[in-house]
Amino acid sequence: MREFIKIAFRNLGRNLRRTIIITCAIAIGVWGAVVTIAIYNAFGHQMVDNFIYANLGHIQILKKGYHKNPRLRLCILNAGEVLDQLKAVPHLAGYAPRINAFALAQSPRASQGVLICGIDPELEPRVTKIKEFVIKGEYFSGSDEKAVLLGKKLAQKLKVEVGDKLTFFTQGFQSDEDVVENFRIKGIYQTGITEIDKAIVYLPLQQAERILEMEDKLNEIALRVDEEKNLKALKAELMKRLGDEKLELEVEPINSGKENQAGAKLRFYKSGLGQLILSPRALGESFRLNPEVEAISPRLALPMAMLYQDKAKKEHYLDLKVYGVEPINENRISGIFDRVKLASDSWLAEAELDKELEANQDWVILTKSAVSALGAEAGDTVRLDSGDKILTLELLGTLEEDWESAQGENFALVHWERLWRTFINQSSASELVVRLKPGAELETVKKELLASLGIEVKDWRELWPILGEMTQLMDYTNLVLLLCIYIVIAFGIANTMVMSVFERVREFGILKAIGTKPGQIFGMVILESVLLALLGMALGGLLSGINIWLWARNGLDLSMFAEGLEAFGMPTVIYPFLRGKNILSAVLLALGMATVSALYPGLKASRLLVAQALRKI
Amino acid sequence: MAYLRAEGIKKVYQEDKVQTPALRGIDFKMEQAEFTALFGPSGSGKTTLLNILGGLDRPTEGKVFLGDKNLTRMREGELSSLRLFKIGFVFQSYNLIPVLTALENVEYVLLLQRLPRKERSDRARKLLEELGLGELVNKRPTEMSGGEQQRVAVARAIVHYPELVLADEPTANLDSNTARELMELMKKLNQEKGISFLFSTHDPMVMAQARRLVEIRDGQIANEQIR
Repeated sequence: MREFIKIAFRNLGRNLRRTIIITCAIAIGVWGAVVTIAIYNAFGHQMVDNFIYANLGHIQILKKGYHKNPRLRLCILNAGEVLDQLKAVPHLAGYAPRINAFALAQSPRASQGVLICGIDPELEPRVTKIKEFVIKGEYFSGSDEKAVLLGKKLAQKLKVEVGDKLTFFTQGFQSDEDVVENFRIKGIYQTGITEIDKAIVYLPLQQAERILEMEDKLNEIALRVDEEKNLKALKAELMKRLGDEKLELEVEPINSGKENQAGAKLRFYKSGLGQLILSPRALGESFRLNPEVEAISPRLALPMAMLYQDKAKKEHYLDLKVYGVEPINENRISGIFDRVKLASDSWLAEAELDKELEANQDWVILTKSAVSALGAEAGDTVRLDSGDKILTLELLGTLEEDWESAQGENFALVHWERLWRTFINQSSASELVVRLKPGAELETVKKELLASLGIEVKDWRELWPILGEMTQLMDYTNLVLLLCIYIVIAFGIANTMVMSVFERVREFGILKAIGTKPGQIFGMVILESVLLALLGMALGGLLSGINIWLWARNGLDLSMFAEGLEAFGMPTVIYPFLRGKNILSAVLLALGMATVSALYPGLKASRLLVAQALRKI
Repeated sequence: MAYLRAEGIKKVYQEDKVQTPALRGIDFKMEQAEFTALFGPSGSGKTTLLNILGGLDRPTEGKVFLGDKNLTRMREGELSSLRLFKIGFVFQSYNLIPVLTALENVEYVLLLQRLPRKERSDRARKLLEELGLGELVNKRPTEMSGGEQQRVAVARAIVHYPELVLADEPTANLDSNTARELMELMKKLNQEKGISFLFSTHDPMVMAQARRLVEIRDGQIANEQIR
């Protein structure tokens, strides 16, 4: 082989001028393609980086389902534990916990729907560049400052400036009541990404926790990897650490005998006596994403003493189980509110009871036997006593004891939120009942619901797929560009090789006459062509290498296009670079093209008839 | 049985619709270690016969045998191998590969035979020295005279110990002294190494050296003479 390469090289040297010209043409083509690809790469990389460092982060840890359905209640419930797990994870350069909620922002002059994003002022800059993006005013100075940062476009839309006051209307985690809060604008930022600049309002995490009632809860944790090449390793490690988090939830079907008409019911509860499910609404939000789920309702059961003072001031006392339920949701599950017997003169007689009782929470409904044991009547006032707290309620009506949770015992129904706010002070439930749509496959949905409770780890490509697609599109564009240039080069090589073969017809004849096989002749021509391409590529590679090295040191100054670039969030100095795959595809394509372009002259040379070839001079 | 046999060889060249007969039925035989010249005027068919006998061209009709092998039935690759191992060629001019030195030109055949590098080099160098061409080892064809090139071509034709060397007007472009030296070299190789030589010529000096003379005229053997 060495000898054949030597011969091929010497043949290239025979018509030195022609070889130099075609080599230079290849080199210039390669240089043009490679440099353009490097500039594209810089733009592409910059674009991806802008998204990553503006808000996205390299990786995010999210509650399952949150990415598709970003609702406040789809949150990581044990945020403290999850954050603890992030300590000493290899390749993790920083993490930023966040709470996100949709809100309406109102200024004296305009209003706009926004995403309020609670960030830890100290941790956030370790992941994103939000601190550097502040163009007016200042970044947060304390972790519980009552202030917000606004995107430039949003500030323009709301017609506000630094120092102005904004009012936000939103809903918190615990209740459906509106939350209204005022914040002063501390700074205006510009990331260059319109979607962010016109939508996101940053505020300190502690403030978001307070107004949205999200203590120890997070919607997302954005992470930054130390080097991009370690992204996969970091993601794998996080999935290993967080992926199989267990909530220790038990689940069993409820047999009410009406499954066929109304759909099966599942009861979720924590194993262990008296164990409560904390933040059941967050679980409910996860379950709600399943299309087979029709209704979800929390039930909180507390054994308590009920007191009634009759008209003679005599105290009556009864121990019973008090169930806190959400009237509308519970009625959709068990229809219990349709079976309540109200006093005949009750103003609720004609109303939709569940809806009325959702708004007015000071009521209690008792079983018939409980009412007779207490000697009370509908319309009387009763008290629930836990020993240190007392809740006074109006006895609204009576029920039979046939409710599925009570199993024939005496019980009282009260509003769920009123019960936990008074006696537990934390949103909790003894069980969460889920009713499926009629015909839903119980076992399958049960598995799906349990699986939907975990945490997921997503990288930037999954979080913003369009970014991944754009980088892929750029790769294809690069390839097409290379192909176009190489096709032109291929014609140049083919032309050179055809000339070279026709000039050496007699020589090929002699080579064949003395025993060179047609395949060897073909190989010799291909080899010459490939060497020619390699020479051109080496020269082009050298030129591009120097060029890109200089740009890597000093950057490529595009300040003359500053305005246009800044509109896309691009810097005016970019740093073109090449990826391994760019170089590999450039080399492989060139070799492929060189081979293809030598096919015709190679075949021509190998098929020469010796006797005819020898007659040529 | 004769070593090289041609039976009823006819060759017709066709260009467009014009057919030109070059050989009109030749029967030819040659034994091993012969030193034979084909002679005749230009266009008589000498080169065509030589090409067909060497497997460089195929006859329109007839058969050619080298030993027990029927050349007319062989495929291109088999003919290449046959030429590589059994036959040496010397052409009229532009005989050598211009980008190779004299040594490399001679070595080339051994390279095709896949001999180890050292053996190739040693054998080629020894042969060139034996033939008094030691000084030309590192010279390229453009740096050699016509006679020197032809002598290197002879060295290349015999370096692989062929049984038969075919030479097509080897002296046509040489002056008479150089031509005589070349013929002496070929005769010496014929006598000392027993290699058969068959050459075409119309040079009387070359014919004078041959032991057997075959006259070709109008594509046929017109006369044959053994001395």
